[in-house]
Amino acid sequence: MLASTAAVWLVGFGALRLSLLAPEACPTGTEAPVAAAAAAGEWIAEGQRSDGSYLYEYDRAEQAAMPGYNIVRHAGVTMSLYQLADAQADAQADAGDEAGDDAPADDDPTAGRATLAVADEGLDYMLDRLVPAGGGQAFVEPGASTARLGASALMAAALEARRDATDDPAHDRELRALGRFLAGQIGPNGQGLEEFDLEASAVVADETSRYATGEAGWALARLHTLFPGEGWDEPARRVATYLATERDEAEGLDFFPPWPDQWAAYLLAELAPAGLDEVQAGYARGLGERFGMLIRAESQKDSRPHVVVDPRARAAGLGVWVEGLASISRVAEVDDRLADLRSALADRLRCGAGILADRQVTAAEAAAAAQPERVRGAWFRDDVTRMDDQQHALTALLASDGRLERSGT
Amino acid sequence: MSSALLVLLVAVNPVAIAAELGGRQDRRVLAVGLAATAVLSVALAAASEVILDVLSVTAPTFRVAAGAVLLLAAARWVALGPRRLAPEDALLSHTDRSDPSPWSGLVVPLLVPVLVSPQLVMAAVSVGADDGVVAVAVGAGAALALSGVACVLHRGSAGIWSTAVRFTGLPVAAVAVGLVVDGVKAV
Repeated sequence: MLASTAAVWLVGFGALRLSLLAPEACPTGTEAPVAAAAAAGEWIAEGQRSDGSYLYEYDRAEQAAMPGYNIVRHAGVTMSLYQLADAQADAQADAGDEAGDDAPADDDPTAGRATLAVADEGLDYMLDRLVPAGGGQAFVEPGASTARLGASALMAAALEARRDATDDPAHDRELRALGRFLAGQIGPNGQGLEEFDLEASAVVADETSRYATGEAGWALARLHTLFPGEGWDEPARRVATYLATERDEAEGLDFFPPWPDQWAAYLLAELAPAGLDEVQAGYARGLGERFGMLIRAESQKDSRPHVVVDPRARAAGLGVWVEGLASISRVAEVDDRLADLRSALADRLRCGAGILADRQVTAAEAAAAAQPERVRGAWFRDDVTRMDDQQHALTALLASDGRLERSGT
Repeated sequence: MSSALLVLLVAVNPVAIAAELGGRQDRRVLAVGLAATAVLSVALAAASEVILDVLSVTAPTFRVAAGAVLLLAAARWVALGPRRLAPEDALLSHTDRSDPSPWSGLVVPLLVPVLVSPQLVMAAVSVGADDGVVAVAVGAGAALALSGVACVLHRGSAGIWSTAVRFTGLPVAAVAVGLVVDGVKAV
């Protein structure tokens, strides 16, 4: 009986080890997250075209760019470049403080300015596509008959990140105009309506998006941080409550709520210093748990037989989870109702950032590629990378290093 | 703390232990077996951090696995009732003429497979990692003491006990699912 029992235990443990109890691989990551993010920024810069748009998607096996473009992702990439420029300036200042005033502050003190120049080219692409809409302005595809909420929300977020990086008020007028458009798309219950009919000059009823409401809410909350007293927080808080209570069901995302929405997490982090209500704080906890679970599952994937696991998440996905977790960490820092999560959030955040850094193509790895500049600093899955892979991973690395703390504080 | 105690209680399942041992065991052997199991549970709890480190998993991941093992045990109890020990393994009774020493059954089958079960090992490590050694000492101690009482008071037909064990499988399954959900949802 002892032998048979031992055999059952061994087989059972083996089965567990290959499934639920697979080791969690959390690489130590990089000691220079800003440099890793900068490498991703260089991939974006290398692919920028003369009109300010970026290389959208690249297949390294085919050594070819793939067709297609998406202006929402263009805005997101531009926002991430401004975040990077800000972080590079901060890192340079940090290095200067540590080395003393007379010492050289950084290997490349112009890095932040170079990143800023690339981002400004991307911004010009968007400024050229601003049209009057809904009492403000919206960022639209040339020739489009409707303006979409998400694109304008992320353009506003990009301008806000530019404000953080430069303190330059040159585009405040456009920023406020975008804010008016966003606020006009938010319904009384906080739901964002995705489209505005430019010909009829009216909001299109019943067209919604699972992403855009959170994007708009966050952009409005950031507007309140930049321009307090102008009332931008009121629609932002309406959005936060809608996301916490209605969005998942309205968008058919309520199978296993809460849906892991990093834009909602950004919004909550922005609002948290002024206080969240009980529902919003509970939602923040749920989001933190969901992002943590996703990163934990990702950390186990390489430990399981490949026939029984889904592929590694693409960098855009993993980056989003790390971004979300970093935002909920910021909520937990200022809201004691989430104090019990602080340590676990920090551990899981390190793990996610470590996995991201570990999967980035290094310069040495890229040297063997046919087009090293199309590979270096990027994240690939199935030999394909898309610009938002770099955007989200870049932002996630900065967020995990506390480089996006300026907003909301 | 209360959920930790509940997890250990259902992992031990005093009704199942009493049904499997059938009340025929030597009380001194049973007492030693129960004490040894309690000590082992506390030792596992004390070593839980080291065990998780060696396995390279975090407490929530282990919690999910512990819940899954507990769920399997619950399914077995519901589907099959108590384990039926083979006659040659039932060396628990001092009335057994084939072996004059009741102690020969201490390790097999008393400790393994009856008292030290996979679900108890997993629960002790998981609760130890989440709630500490004291919770495991209290929970496992209480559950094993209840098991001892149940064994001493064991009366009635095997069929009644088998039915009772099958019924206990249902709340065990509920606790197991709760453990899995709790682990999945944790950061």
